Amino acid sequence: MAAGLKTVILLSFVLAVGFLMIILSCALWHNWLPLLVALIFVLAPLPNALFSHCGADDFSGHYDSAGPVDLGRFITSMIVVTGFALPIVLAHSEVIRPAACAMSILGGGLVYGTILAYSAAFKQEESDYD
Amino acid sequence: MQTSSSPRTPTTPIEIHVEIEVRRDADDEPADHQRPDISHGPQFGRQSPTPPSLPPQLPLISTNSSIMSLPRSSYDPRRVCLNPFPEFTLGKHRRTIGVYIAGALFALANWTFLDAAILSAHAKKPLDPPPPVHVTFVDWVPGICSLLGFFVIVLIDKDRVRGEEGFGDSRAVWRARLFLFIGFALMAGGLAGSITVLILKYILEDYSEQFTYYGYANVSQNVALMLSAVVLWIATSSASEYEYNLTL
Repeated sequence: MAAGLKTVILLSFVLAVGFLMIILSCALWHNWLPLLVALIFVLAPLPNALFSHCGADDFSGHYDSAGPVDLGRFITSMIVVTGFALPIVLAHSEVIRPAACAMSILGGGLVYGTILAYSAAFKQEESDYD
Repeated sequence: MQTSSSPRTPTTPIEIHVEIEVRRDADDEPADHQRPDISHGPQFGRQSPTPPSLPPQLPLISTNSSIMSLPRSSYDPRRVCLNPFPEFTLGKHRRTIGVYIAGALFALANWTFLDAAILSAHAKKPLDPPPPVHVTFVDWVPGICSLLGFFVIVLIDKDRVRGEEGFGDSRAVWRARLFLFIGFALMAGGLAGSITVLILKYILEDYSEQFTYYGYANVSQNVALMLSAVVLWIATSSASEYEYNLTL
């Protein structure tokens, strides 16, 4: 459990740094639109988490019920691309500064990477309870 | 004399062999109307050592219905198209990756066009001469057509289009193919419409590069939507092929 504790601490630091970047990109230029990026990246794993309970297991082989799982993956990747595209679009039309765009993308990537790494690191213990 | 006669000798038996095969064909076909699968079966053996993997023989067999004893892997008697759907025997993760890529392409397509629309809406204030052209509803129409076609294509049951799963209603297959045709026609119409808008509205008017970007964004939106539909189709149909190979 010591390794798990270290992982949790590291991931929480990365998450905090990601949110710091996003909030800094908003606060430095007094334009709070990049805060949407944090909201989008927090919402990104939600469809996968919801729709993964609708489908079958990975090893049962019932591909007929894989439609909701595919829908969840589709929506998840749509949201992730939206999170990266929104600051670029905003910076392109000069609503936000390019520096704010870069910082919010970096922060959003850190937040989403934290979520992915957390779910990948603690998947093993979840499957033990099944 | 020797060199000129020796090439002739191998050519003549080959010609005789071909003539014999043609007569066999003409004799067999009217006689065996009841069981054409058996009449076609030995002909494969005569023509080539690897018979069941011959694609040009498919339409001959597809005209005869209710042949169920043949192995389905090489040729399917219920198949309609000469060229079958592309069969990918990919692993399980390819389906996941394909769905992710399709979703990313879908979002990228829409954000490309939304970028142009937002840019056009924000181009009013800073420019001293007013911008000559804006993104209007005409620019939105091809994208809406492509989106409708995308949803039509995605929502169709793939097994019904192929007609492989043995559904009792043969009209369901017909209707599914009609819907698929409508979906692809909508997507192709959206793509053609976007190119039309690009040429008629932006290129022929000789706008600067800042404004022709709206037209190019429109075209790339429709291209990316079509790519997304293709990737999603391949990804979702590869898994059924995978399962199909497991069951055989």
